[in-house]
Amino acid sequence: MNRRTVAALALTVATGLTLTACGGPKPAPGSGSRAPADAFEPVKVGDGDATRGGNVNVLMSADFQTLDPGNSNYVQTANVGQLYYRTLTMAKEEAGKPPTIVPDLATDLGKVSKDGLTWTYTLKKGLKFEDGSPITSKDVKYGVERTYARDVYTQAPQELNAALSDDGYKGPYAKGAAADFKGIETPDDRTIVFRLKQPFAEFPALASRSNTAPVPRAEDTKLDYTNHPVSTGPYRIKSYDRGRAMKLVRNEHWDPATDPNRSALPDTFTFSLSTAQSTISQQLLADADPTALTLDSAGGLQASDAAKLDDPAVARRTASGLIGCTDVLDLNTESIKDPQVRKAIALAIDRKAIHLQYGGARFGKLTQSYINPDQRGYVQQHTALDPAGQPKLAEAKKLLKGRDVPKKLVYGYADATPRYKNMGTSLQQNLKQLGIDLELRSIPAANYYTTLAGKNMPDIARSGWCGGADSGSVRTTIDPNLGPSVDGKTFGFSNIPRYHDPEIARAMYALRGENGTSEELGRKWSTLFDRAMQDYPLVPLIRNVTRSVVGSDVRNAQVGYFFGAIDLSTVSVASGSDSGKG
Amino acid sequence: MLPARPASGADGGGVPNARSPEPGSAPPAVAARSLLGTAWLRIRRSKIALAALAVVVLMILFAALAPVLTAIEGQDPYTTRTSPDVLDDYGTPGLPLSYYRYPSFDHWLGVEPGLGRDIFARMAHGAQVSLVIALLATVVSVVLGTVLGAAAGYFGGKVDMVISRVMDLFLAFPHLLLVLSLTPILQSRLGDTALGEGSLLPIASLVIILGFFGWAYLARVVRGQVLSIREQEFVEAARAYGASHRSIILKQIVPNVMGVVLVYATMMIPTNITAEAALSFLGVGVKDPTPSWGQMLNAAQAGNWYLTDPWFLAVPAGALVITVLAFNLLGDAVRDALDPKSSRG
Repeated sequence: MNRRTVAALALTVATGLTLTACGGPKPAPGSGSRAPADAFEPVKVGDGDATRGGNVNVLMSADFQTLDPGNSNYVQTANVGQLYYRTLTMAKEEAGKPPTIVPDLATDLGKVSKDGLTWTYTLKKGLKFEDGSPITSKDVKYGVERTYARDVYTQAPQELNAALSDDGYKGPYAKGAAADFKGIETPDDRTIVFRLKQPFAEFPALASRSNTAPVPRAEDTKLDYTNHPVSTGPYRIKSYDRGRAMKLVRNEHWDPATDPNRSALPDTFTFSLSTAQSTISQQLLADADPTALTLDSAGGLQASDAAKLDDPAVARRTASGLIGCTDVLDLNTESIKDPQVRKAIALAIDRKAIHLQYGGARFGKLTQSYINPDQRGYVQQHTALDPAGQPKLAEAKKLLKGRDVPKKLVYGYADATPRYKNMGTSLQQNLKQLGIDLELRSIPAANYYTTLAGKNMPDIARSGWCGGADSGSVRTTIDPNLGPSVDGKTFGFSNIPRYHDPEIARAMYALRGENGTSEELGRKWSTLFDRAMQDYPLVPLIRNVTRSVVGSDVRNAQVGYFFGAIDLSTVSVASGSDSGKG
Repeated sequence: MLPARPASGADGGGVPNARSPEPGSAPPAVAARSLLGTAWLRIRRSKIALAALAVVVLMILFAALAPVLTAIEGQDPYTTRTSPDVLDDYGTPGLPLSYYRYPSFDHWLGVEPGLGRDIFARMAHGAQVSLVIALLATVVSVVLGTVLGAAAGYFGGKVDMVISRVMDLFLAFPHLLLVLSLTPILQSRLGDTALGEGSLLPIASLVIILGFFGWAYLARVVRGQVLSIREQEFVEAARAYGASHRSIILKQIVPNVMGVVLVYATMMIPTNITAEAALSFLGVGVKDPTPSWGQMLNAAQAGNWYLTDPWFLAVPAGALVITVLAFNLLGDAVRDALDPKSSRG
């Protein structure tokens, strides 16, 4: 193009600044994504350093949604939870790979009965709460029981509960027969027996869900439990100022002999819970605090920070890896009822522009499906979306002919991250082409998913899913996200688009009870998912790659596949680091 | 029959007729100039004041003609451009390639990083939003301040006490904190907080907030002026004629405080421009997609774009600095011009 050669009114000063800020050569314009071949290989920082002591300073742009293991579906809570609660089994992270299920409080991964309906676990000896009292099987049972009180814990993990045989149970706060739980038996203080409705091949993964973390009945303060969950892990909460700061110190009653999964090297962890995301990325890039790291998604990095990752000094401090998290746009099927209208909206979306907001090829791959081929049971998925992410406007307009098209839709975004607002601005332009006015509504980041689960769910919203109990299996993505409710009659608890097709719901409901290997069952799940996706309840966007810069004294930093952030169970700080902070 | 017109001012109580002095009578009087006339004369003598005035007029024209100018440019403030031809895809994702980053034939001031919207179009429409908010908020403050200040000064007693305490109350609030916390509340009361292109909600809310919390200082000054004016003979005379309070305030008093009001108004406009920019920068004022200079500063700061694309920050910041400086200099000049004791006139 001839126009591009027209000399711009070059501003020498501005150009000079830009060049120094960017550093390194730039690719020629217009040649598309150029991710290096090794872009998706995991990178660890300071692997193998065994120094004990010091403080790790965790910077976050928003408070944890909750610290209560019984009210959490959140990866950040699961990540920090490794430090203060233990579960029967545990999903142990290894960078770049789906996590492995290993025993934690239990001696092994469980013994299953012949009919597949009973799983028995034995607790290790010498397990104690932070006050020194012993952990018994009743505490584990109670931890599960309370998550049946869905009226209290709206975000309670339900995967385990859905598999257990007592659907009529209403939680320990209910009165009468409804308060007597038959799904779990505790013949003695160290034995726990789970009674299942149906055989469940991946049950050891369900036993790693956060609601198998023991909760002492006497300490259960319901929704206030989040302020001080009783520790069973290597650290306990010393102070927690909601929305501002938290400090974890060693729990003397944690016995390392019972726990091969957590290195627990640092003496303390401090959390700063209200640092602006742009400040976090600047501090980490500049190494302002050598013991700092962040749990924010995408390492708290802004798109404009990307070029700095090429700086060798920063690259040395960058842990990275492909993660299980996939981001999608949820289309509210209760407000946009017509599947063809949803399909048209999906086709009109410029996913390439959204990919750019995520930092382009360096931070993720455009994906055509919510599930990915790395998961067990994946079968080829079908979609009309363009693989390169370009909008298909003509096709979208054709679909809308003669249909009842909404005049105005609302896109809700979490206000802490500029990228999500920019996505909205881009969507606004796309939908305008279809004659739809898209309005942008900011939602406080701390209430984002609660809002999406409630009655104020906007018409369009972004969400991400990083896999459930067994993130290596397709079911872990499909069942919670588009699956039916516990009784199969409505949509499930994490089904943000509120998708419910009676036929597919029935089939998925039946599938939950089938016996077979994880692989066989996975294929069936994938096939049903493919059918559901033809109704476009959601638009797949990006399979994430996380690059997380850590301070120069941080060691053993790896990006968790499931957490999408630095795995707190392995990190430590180098010797000689100033641990006087916090 | 028409009454005979006096041939001269010799009949005692008549108005001296400067245009047709009797030859040989009193020396010709200097032409009486209105307050504004005098002020204009003084402003005309100062090069700085004239330059400031020119910039202000140009800025207002620029804002008023924003749709025309962007039409000439062939762009609009909302269209996003995210193809790899425009925005970098890998090196610094979202950074406009150099042809698009800086002024060019197609994009007079380049395009935004991240979304690729035309900066000139956004700056021009943003000027409209910023100036409309500042001017309307000033009008609200001036009307409230003048009326309440005049009422307090003129009536005295209980009226004065009530109004003065309210003034004290408003002056005692930490202004920025109050505005910061009230704006989101007001916005959610005024309507749905979901914002579309060209939404009037943030504009209306800023006008109300800035206008309503900016009147107290002016009211206090006006009250002081009125306290002295109301004792003067012409007011006594009007009262003696049986003029109503309303007529005395509007016809005798307000015109005599107009000088002070004018000075404060010209000073208040740049304050309000900065206040709008500050609020939008902090994310509670004008929000994307509606452009304003503060919103553009916010966008340059969000995602740290100012580090890799300083030009994107320079445009709204430059416009803001130039405009505020021009209004401030003009305000100074108006004050000097209206103040007879000023030495610089």
